[in-house]
Amino acid sequence: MRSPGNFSTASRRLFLRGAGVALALPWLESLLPRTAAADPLPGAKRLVLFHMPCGVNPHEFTPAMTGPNYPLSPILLPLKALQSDVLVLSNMQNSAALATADRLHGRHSTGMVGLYSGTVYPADEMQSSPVVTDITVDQIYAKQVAGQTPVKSLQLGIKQNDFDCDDISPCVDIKTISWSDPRTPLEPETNAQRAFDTFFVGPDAKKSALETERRLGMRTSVLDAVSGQAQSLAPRLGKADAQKLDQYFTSVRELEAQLQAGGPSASCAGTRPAAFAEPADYRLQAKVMSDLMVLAIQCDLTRSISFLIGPGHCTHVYDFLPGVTDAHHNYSHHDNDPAKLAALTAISAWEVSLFAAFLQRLKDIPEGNGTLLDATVAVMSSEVTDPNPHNYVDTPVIIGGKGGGFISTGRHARAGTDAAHADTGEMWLGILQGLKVPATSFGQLKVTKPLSALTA
Amino acid sequence: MKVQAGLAVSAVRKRAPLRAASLLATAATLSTLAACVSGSSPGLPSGIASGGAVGSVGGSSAGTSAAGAAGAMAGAPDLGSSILHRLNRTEYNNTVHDLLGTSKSPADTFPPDGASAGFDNNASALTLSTTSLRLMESAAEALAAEAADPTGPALERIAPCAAPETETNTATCVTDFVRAFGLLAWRRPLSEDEVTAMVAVAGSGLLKFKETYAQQVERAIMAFLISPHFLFRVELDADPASVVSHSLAAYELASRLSYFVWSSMPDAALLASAKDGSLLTDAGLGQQLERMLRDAHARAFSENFAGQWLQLRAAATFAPDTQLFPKWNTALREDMVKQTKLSFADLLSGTSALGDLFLSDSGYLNDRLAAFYGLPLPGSSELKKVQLPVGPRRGLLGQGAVLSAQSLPVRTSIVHRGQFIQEHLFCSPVPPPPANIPTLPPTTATGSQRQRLEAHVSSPVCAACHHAMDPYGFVLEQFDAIGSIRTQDGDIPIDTSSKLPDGTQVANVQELQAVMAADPRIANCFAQQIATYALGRTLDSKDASLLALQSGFVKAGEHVDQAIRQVVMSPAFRTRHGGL
Repeated sequence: MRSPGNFSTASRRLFLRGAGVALALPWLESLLPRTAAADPLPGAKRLVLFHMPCGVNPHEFTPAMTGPNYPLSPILLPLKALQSDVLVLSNMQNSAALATADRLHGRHSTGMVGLYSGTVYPADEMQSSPVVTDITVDQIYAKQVAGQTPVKSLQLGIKQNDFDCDDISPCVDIKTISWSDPRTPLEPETNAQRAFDTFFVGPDAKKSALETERRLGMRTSVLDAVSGQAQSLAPRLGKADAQKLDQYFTSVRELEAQLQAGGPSASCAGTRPAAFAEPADYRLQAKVMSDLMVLAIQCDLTRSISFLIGPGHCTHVYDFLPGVTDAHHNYSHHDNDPAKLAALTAISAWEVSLFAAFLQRLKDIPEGNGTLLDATVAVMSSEVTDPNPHNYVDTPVIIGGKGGGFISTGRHARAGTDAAHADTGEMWLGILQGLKVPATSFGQLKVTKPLSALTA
Repeated sequence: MKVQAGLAVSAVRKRAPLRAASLLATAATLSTLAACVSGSSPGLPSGIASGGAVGSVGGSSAGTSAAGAAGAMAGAPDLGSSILHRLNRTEYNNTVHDLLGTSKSPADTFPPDGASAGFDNNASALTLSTTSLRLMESAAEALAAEAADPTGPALERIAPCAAPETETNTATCVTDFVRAFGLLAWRRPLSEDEVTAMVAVAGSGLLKFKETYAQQVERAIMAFLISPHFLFRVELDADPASVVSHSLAAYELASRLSYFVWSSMPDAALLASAKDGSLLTDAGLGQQLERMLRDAHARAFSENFAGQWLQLRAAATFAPDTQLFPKWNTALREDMVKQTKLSFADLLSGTSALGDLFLSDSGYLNDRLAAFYGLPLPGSSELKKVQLPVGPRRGLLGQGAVLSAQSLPVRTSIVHRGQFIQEHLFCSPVPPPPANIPTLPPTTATGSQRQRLEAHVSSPVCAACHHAMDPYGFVLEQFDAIGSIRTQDGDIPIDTSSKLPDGTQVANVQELQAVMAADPRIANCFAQQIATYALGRTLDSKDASLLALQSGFVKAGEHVDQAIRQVVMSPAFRTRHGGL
């Protein structure tokens, strides 16, 4: 029933053999090509969502001038070497979040689901349960290209405080930006070691070939059995229960598909570093995750990635930045206090530098006649703009990469008109169409006009 | 005497709108404030206000009548129901500990559970993604390998087999194992079809790999642990489309009970009471509950219920800036959390009423914590129960865990502390700030926290909601971020006097706690919290089952242990329906 995907695994594995770009992180060093180009993958395009929580210092994000060769704003300075590879969009707004009832305005979650799925949260969302949002843009794309790569989509994040949701509303909607259907949030993996083991480690060399095969057989028959159990249970359940069981069933199917694709190692065999500990340093964690994304793109493990610098609570204390001693969230409510705004700028600039490093890494890897970055659309954005009042107007957007050619980079474009902001939904529609998804509208506001500023 | 408890009580008994409204001047601000005035706030318990409804629902006070759940159902067909419950991380860990005797806690690596209505055992928030299932699969594989290790201690206990050498014996042993282990893992007996299917899974590697008995057991355990019947607490309806409540099957009730009281699977005795049907009687259910409350597993209730209700989990991970708070250390933090947990567990003994949480003249201290609080040392490194002198350290709101859980690393948060009281102790959720509020003027760098906050929220748009929270936080300003008593904030003397939202004046934390102990919202909220946790679903403030429990709790003298008994004996706990 489940047909294994038709991946050009052999050739990709080939190029990885003898590969290995010198990365700062020793444990990934052996994995990336030193000089060899990635295999040309005609038409393969990747979508990456790169989420920065809690907005930006609104006074220091948008460049003062539009067009090419615009002077970079303080927050965008880290993009200096990549200015020709990015498109900065201004005059954007998160219309779906804005359309949400007053009472839910200002919530990070409202912004997050509005931004990536165009969901207008219903007024009773706080009480309604479970959380219902729409499928997010990365998952729309993942569905479109499903079967072409071993892993349908990848969700990664940096480990932050494992906070409890202390409020009345469910808060999975601020911990994830990917929803594969209205009730299924895809939580980011925040443990680099585990992500690496899951997606890149080949068979354990210490185990015999027979034992490896036995374990593979065991997993296959177990997954087959439990998928059968779910199937026979489903008709005995009411609608809501069946929907929930479907999350389970879908996940089982996805694991089965990955097994049939040959397990994690098929597309990108790696060697598990002997003594690898989860880096305690936050910057290192961020870098490791960024490297994993590059690796995933390079190995064509997946075409759709979402990355969460942190959840919408943004409780992290970026104490490695000068002058930053308190949680991001406490600076975000800056009251226009110059010291808090300065800290906020430092945090945003650091986030942009993380994005820049990721883009640079993609740019350094040739693919076909261009680079990996050329065939990628990486969108950095946030659920709010000015975090002080939590507003949804003037949404910060940076797009890295040309998506195979449909994005015209090297500019700061003011989208929309003087009278009206352009909607982020228009941007997603334009991106989806550029990625050859036959979409005609996006989100619950049913946006049908793709953003012209992407190309013009 | 500034406290007029009687007055305050009568005011709230009528569930008077928060007086914030009276501060409002302009019509322009009214719409944004609507959420903070009167009962329009989401989830605001309107139990008492609904008056007459209380006596008319359910037909019995919490289902203690001989007719039991079924009888109580007749007049009220819809007693509410929750959707399919996935084991949360805590429940998963506890369950595999009890089931396999493992010391592993694999769920620690699973994605954090969502929470709804304040608790992470709320079925609506317990979703499942490929990320989580992938980790559950790895966990099942590792747990199965450990349990079926022929050199380990578990195999003989979990899957005894006298002579597994011969093929026939092995087949019999596998079938026996599937039946016995299945009962525990799926918390109900397996059907014959299920036994056959699981035996087939166990033997699926027989032909190709000539697997041993232990290896077959390993396969079966892995399959049991990743099955929907293990990961979810499956409850079935004869008619999945019907919204008419019906009694739970005995094994389903056993699971509800054990996950409520123990946050883990039923034990052999509970399963036996499901098997013989005694659990379905009032007497049988009551007996099991009493037995389970006395069992050591019941510690999980204080851990998980109080841990979330009082935000002790946040307290347990609170990490202040140690340069600003050199007295603080992690041992102290542990003492604080333990102190509050022990005080809560005391309430379960049966002699205490909920108000004792605020008024009790005794509490738990060890030397380290007593020294930190500036109290006489009890002469013990372990926390022990001691008399507390009259003063700010009596009662919940003088406890370091509660105070620090609502603080920021560098300072107190008047707003968070007030919000905690409104939302967790009064069950009155405070709406989020309105959208696009005008940018506030720069904070003056001088003045106490209180003075700065008062200036900050002077705009009526902000004041409406802040007025419901901040007055409580002002009183608690006498405790710094880590819960030490202070007399000054910077160089400004602390002013602990405060006018509560209903107009009551209090001078300090003792007076505040006296007012709160007498406030019926506290009891109603507590009953709501217990019911929410027990049922694992969000209760509408008009939920008939909830109203019955609230009035029952008050009638029972607000004894905390009674709240647990009442909810277990209630029709809502013993029934479910489909059609959701």
